[in-house]
Amino acid sequence: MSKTHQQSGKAGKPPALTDEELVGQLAAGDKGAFNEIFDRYHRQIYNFINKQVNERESVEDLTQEVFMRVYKSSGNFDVSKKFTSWLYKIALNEIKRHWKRTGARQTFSLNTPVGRDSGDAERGEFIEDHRIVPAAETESDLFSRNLRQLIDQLPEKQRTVVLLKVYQELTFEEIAEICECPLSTVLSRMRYAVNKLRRWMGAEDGEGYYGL
Amino acid sequence: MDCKMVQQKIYRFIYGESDKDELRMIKAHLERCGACRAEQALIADILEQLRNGMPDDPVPHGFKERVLERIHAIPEDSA
Repeated sequence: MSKTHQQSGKAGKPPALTDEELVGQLAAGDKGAFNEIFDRYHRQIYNFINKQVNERESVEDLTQEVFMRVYKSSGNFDVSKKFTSWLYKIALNEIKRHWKRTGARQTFSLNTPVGRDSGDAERGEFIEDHRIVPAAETESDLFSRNLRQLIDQLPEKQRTVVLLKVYQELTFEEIAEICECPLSTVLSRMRYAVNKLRRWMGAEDGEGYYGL
Repeated sequence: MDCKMVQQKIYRFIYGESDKDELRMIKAHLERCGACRAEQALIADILEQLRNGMPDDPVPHGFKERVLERIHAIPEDSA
C-alpha cells in the first residue's frame, strides 16, 4: 500500500481534495492549497532527503527548496499526471543538484552495470560521512549508521528504488513513473540492490556483517 | 510458473502488488517449492530489517513556519 495521500470522506465532511486538485488550486493562486500539500508531504520528503544527504542543515534547506519549487512551478504541473511522481522527481533533482554543488558525495556512474559481478567492487568505496557521531551511540544507532553506509554504496539508480520502495512505501508502478523507466527495470534494480545488501549484510552465510 | 520467474516477481508478491493471476501462480508455486518459500521468507526478513533499521526522523521544530515565511515573501505575481 502506498504511503501517498488517499482521498477520504468521513460522514458530514466533504471528501478531501486530491493532490492534483490541490495543485490546480495552488496554480490558481490559492496559498491555502499549498499549506495542505505541505502538510501532506513535508515529512516524507524531509526523510527521503535525510536518508541521502548527510548534513542536517542541508536536509532542511533542500526540503524547503523542493516545496518552493512546488509553489513556484505549480502552473507547469500536468494535471493528467500523478502529483507524487512530480514531487519526488523534484526532490531527486534537488538532491542531485546538491551533490553536484557540494561534491559531498561521489556517486557511482549512471552507467554502472547492475549485474551481480559489479557489486563487491563498490563495497570498498566508502562515502565520506559528515554527520556527527553521538558520544554514546546505542546499538540501534550503530545499526542504523552501518545500514545507511551500505545503502549509500549502492549504485544511484538502485539506491533510489530501495529508498522509494522500502522507506517511502511507494508502489513499484509509482517508482517506475518517477524514474521514467519500465516497471521491469525497477523490479530488476530492486532485486540487484537487495541481493547486494544481503550479501554485504552477511545474510547468506549466517555471519552478520555489521552485526546485522 | 518456474522458480526463475517467481524470483523475478517475488518483490511485487511480498509487497502485495501482484495482479490476480500472478498471485495465484506464485502461491501455487510456493506451496510446492521449498527453496522459493525459503527465499521469499529471507527476502521479506531482509526488507523488514532494512525498514526497521533506518526509522524516520522528526522534522525540525519550526520547519513549517520557516517554509511559509519564504512563501509569503514571494511576490504574488511570481507564483
